[in-house]
Amino acid sequence: MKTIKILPLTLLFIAVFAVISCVEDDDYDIPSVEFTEPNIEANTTISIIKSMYAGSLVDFTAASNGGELIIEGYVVSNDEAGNFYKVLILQDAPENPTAAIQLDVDVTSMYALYKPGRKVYVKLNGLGMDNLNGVLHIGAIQGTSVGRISATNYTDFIIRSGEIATMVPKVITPADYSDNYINMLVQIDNMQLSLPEVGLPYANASDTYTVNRNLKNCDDESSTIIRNSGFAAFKNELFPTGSGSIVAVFSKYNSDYQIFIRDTDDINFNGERCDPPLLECAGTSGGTQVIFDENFEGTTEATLTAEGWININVNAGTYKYSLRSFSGNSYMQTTAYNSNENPYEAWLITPAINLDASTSEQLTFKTNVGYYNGDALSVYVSTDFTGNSADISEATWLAVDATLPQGPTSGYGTAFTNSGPINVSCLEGNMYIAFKYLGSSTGITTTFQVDDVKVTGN
Amino acid sequence: MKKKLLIFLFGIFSIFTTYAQQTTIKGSVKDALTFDPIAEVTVTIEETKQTTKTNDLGEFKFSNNVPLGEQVLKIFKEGYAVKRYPIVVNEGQTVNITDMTLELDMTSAEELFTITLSDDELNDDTSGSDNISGLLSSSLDVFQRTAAFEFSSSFFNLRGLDSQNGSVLINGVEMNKLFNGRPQWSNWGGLNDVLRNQELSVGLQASSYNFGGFLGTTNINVRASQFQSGGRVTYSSSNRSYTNRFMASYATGLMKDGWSMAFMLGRRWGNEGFQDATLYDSNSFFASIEKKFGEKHSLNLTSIYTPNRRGKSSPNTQEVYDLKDIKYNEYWGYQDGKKRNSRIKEVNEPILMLNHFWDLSDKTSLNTNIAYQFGKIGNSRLDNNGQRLNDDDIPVGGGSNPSPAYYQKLPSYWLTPAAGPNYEQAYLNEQQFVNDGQIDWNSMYLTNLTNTDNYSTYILFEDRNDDKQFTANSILTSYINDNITINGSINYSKLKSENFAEIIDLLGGNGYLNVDSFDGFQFDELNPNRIAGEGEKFRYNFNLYSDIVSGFLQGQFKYNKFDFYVSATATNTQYQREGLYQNAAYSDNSFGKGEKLSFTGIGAKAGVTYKLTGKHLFNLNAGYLTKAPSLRNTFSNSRENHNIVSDITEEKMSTVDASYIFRSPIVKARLTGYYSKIEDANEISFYYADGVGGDNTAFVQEILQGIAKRQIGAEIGIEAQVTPTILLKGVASLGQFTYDNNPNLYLTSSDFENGRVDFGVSTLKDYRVAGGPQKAYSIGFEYRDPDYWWIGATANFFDDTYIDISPLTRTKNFYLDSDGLPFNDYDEDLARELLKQEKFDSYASVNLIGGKSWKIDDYYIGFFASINNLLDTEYKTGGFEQGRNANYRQLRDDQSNDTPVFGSRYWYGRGATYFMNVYFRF
Repeated sequence: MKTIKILPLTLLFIAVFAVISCVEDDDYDIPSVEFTEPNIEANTTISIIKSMYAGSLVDFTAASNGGELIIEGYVVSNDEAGNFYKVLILQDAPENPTAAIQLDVDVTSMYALYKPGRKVYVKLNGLGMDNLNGVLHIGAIQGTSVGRISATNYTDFIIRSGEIATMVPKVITPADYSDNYINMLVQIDNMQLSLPEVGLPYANASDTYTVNRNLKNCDDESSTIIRNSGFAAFKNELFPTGSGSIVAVFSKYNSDYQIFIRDTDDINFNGERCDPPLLECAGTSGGTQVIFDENFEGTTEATLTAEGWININVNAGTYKYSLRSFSGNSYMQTTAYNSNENPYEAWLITPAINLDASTSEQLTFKTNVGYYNGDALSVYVSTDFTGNSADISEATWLAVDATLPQGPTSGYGTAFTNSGPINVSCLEGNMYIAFKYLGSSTGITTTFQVDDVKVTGN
Repeated sequence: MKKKLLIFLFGIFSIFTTYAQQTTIKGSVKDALTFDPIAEVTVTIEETKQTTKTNDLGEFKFSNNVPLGEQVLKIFKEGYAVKRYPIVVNEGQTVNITDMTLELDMTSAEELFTITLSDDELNDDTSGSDNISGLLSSSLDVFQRTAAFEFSSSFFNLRGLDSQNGSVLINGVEMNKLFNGRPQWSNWGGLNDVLRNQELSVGLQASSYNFGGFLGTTNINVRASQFQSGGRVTYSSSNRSYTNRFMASYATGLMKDGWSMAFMLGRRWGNEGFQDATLYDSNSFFASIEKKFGEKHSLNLTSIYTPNRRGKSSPNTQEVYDLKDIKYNEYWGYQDGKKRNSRIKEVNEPILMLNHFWDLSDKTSLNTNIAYQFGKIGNSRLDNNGQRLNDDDIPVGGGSNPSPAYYQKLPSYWLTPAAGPNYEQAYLNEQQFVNDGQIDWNSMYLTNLTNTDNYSTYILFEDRNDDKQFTANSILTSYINDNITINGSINYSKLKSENFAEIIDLLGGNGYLNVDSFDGFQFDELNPNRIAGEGEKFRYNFNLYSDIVSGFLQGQFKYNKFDFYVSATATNTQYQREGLYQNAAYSDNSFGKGEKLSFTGIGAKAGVTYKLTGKHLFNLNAGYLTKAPSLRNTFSNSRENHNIVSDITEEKMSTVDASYIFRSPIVKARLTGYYSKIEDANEISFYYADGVGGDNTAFVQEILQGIAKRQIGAEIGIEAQVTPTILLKGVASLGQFTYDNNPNLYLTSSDFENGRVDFGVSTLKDYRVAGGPQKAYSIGFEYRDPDYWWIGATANFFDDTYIDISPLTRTKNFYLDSDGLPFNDYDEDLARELLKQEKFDSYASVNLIGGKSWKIDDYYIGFFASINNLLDTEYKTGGFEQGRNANYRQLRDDQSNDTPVFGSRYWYGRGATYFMNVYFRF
């Protein structure tokens, strides 16, 4: 009998227990983000460790002679917009830095914890440093070079400080470009997207290839390569078409300097474009009368000079246009490759072409490209040029809207491109046509070939 | 004691033979312990299947078409053990068999069936596997019992068909979901005590309620008046899915004033089942109230409410299982010192129904029901693609994949030529995975909390499916005479299904930008750049409407030598999608109402049973059915647009089966052969695919259309009561379930130029259809001691379990290069090897069960326990090929690695598990 009374009580107890028993679910505290400053101090600098590189892998454990090497730096890179991938770039000061370095880390989405300006310490023991395509990288030692530091242990090497500084980019001009600036945050003023690329997006909408765009400097008309990832959030967006300043991480690929933006916020092209004035003639053009015709067959550079052609390196360097032939076809060609000049600027100017005895004149010529890595050729006409190479900078040069090839990036184009016709019917007197090449042995080195320069009319 | 039992089982009772004009069998049934008469006991003459029920005095009588000679009477009532009595019937005489007794079945295994089933919820959406065991109950033959109890943990599918081929009804109202056609078991889980009154028709057998699917119909009767008065309290402990279960039920029975009431409460809970961090949190409430009005009318109101939450577990590659163990689950991580599972399935869909029972006459009854079900189903998961707008209004951000088993975090990836091989990284990642290998909640919080403007890169969200379904039907049953029964019904149901994603937890951040991070498309152009907060909808938002009208008519004919039935049904199904977001990828095809679709389904079936003698019966059934595809397989990308599967048409199914049934007082056996075919079926799946649509990974919808499948096989079940206490049983299911054609395959994706790429046929013919073992065997015994204790043991063997193949790799995409020509290094022999369907190892499992019960005064106390997979065998129950390597070169290169990076993912069965149950009944 007794059991019978106990049972309901037991059951009641179980029932109460069951109803109040809870399951670990939906009841979590937000982890605290209180930050404790690490107890660590840098004992060397980015500059010093960069100077340890002597042409082959630096093993910091070996180089530390049993001690510990620790550097500090401020984060420059930002992968939030996806233009940087698995790298962390540091410079030694938020403003007026003297050295910068790149860390390869096998981690994506570092942007929150490693915001630009965040101070970090890097314990170098266990890591290595090597030059990869012209840039020093710190990473995990892999054979005789370095690879990415593993996602599993990168926080053992890279330690965050609580300090977040405001980064002030170093203002430089294209003429300042040098290896010193590699991986630094720089600002370049008076820049714009090159004219042929106006209207293009940062990268290709249809694929995820990384794309190089060319920026023109309004002051010296030099070109700078800006490299945009095909995985960047902004890759489909229109590249800003105005002119202005750009903040970017300076870098290099083999011998070419290039820059990377962290986000579109880094570009402030709100000003008017600074393109040279463009020749725009109305009406019809072209006719049966050949006013000028040069196909460079059966001639020599000396003959051309004798005929009034000007072929000149305006900076007095040794490189300029040269007469070449391939498969029985002759043309004029130049490239900044191996010129050892920064910038490299060469002009090829026709003899004076008199337009007084004709009407409806039109200019045609052909161009071809080799190893394209950016636009270097621009074509101008002038009617006030004296014909004397010393007066090139004095003359008024009007750019013409020529169709110039933008490839291939490897080898040479299989056929010349018709770059005209260009209506020059509004010009009178002596017209000069100039093929200006502006590149750099440490920048754009595209080879350009010019052929079949012809002016016709009635 | 022993003698008494003998009498119970085989006893020939005082049979008074009187001379009369009619041949009659009559008798009475009493409780074995109390000797009180038992009403509502089903009495069946086995040979003719003639059935009657006892009255309040426990009496019954058969007087029409009584078969002559040696017969077996079967008496059965829910909650009691079945009894079979051999009798001899002579023409013109009356067999009077009084005081047959029934014992309360306190040792029934029925408990366990419901456990395997609704509690485990084998229809985990990710598994693609779902079986029918929930439809089966203890009153069935040995084959079906074994399939339900012994085979279900192997994901065994009866006849190779999944649960959408079986109808589950509660009080005559169909409960299968319109979304996928499957019953949502958890909508009535934990209510075992009140779900016992089940009426089941297996296979094509005629059901009084509806036409049913090809696996049969179960009607669960929850009328308050049908429950025996009394109560029951149960406590269970297990390490399978929940760790604790508590249930209490009470029913009044039919009271003098015509009222009856039944109530039940249940709770099942646990922090972890067999797999790591699979929490279980379920409450169950049930109330049913019935009022009888006069002799002819009765009204019943039922409400069922079973909110439940379950932590899911991941299918893993073999590499992961080898590094961890078969309990490993990648979905959880520690937060605040507790295991937090990111994938929780929550089902919260109360059911209300009003049933009217009307006896139009002695022979005809009409049952009219209206039911309303509403609530939500939510499946949570992490998203790592939160963004913010930069100063130029361009979305930037997006995080890294938080999955701890992401392929780049496993050693196999670092050992591929593509990654080096980099042995240091392989080692570091292996150590990381072995020592931790769980979600890092803290780092996600840290990112969100330190983000510019605190936007959320990482969020926890839920895919929601909030249905409101109204159903009304009328079911007519008329016994024209002793030979003919007519059944008919008309049904209407209307569904509004709201589908959307909703943010559960911003993980410390303050908002989520409603823009697609992969391609920058606005999820809703009408509200561009909206920031969604916790509890707010985002990503996709649409309604699906469904209207279904159906009718059913059936005649059942019973004669001495032959029984037969014919049934027919017709259904009209209408679907429509309404987009509430205007997805920028499909501006003109996503917002507002889409095209209204209409499908017409017809069905016919017939069957005959020939009774050679009471011992030997032959049965033949055939059926044909066309039906609308489920909502799931109709809209190819319902989250983003109105698109409908091309050339969509009704699914067609045909089946035929034949059985031989042997019944002697000692041995019962059944042998069945079956053949069925499904045609014009569609299957839609979603995944990230490499190697299609350009150089980048595309999120695609794969539409496989016009699939034909064939199921052919045999079922054998035999049980022998070799002594009054010992029952031996043996079961075999031999099936071959294959694809029967080469269906067309196309992919759609917003990443494709025209949104769609056709791949022609997928050469699936003769590949095996995945879904549990195609061959299963079981032998076992039960010992029932007269002192109310019992034990049982079974040994089960499973074979022919196949992996779910990726149809895309069986298309021309596999061997064609991007230029449309075959790969120049294509090696046909190697390709054949690569595309060979993986067959899992066969395996055996041993299950034990035992229990005892006591009667103390008027109370009963029972206890039983079971151990499944006693030998702790590790076995794969299923798996699927990853769609990631869609072409020959990728698959070849991946398979040539020691451990493939994108190897198939598998489910493992549980190791040794226990279940213990104690109840108290009053």
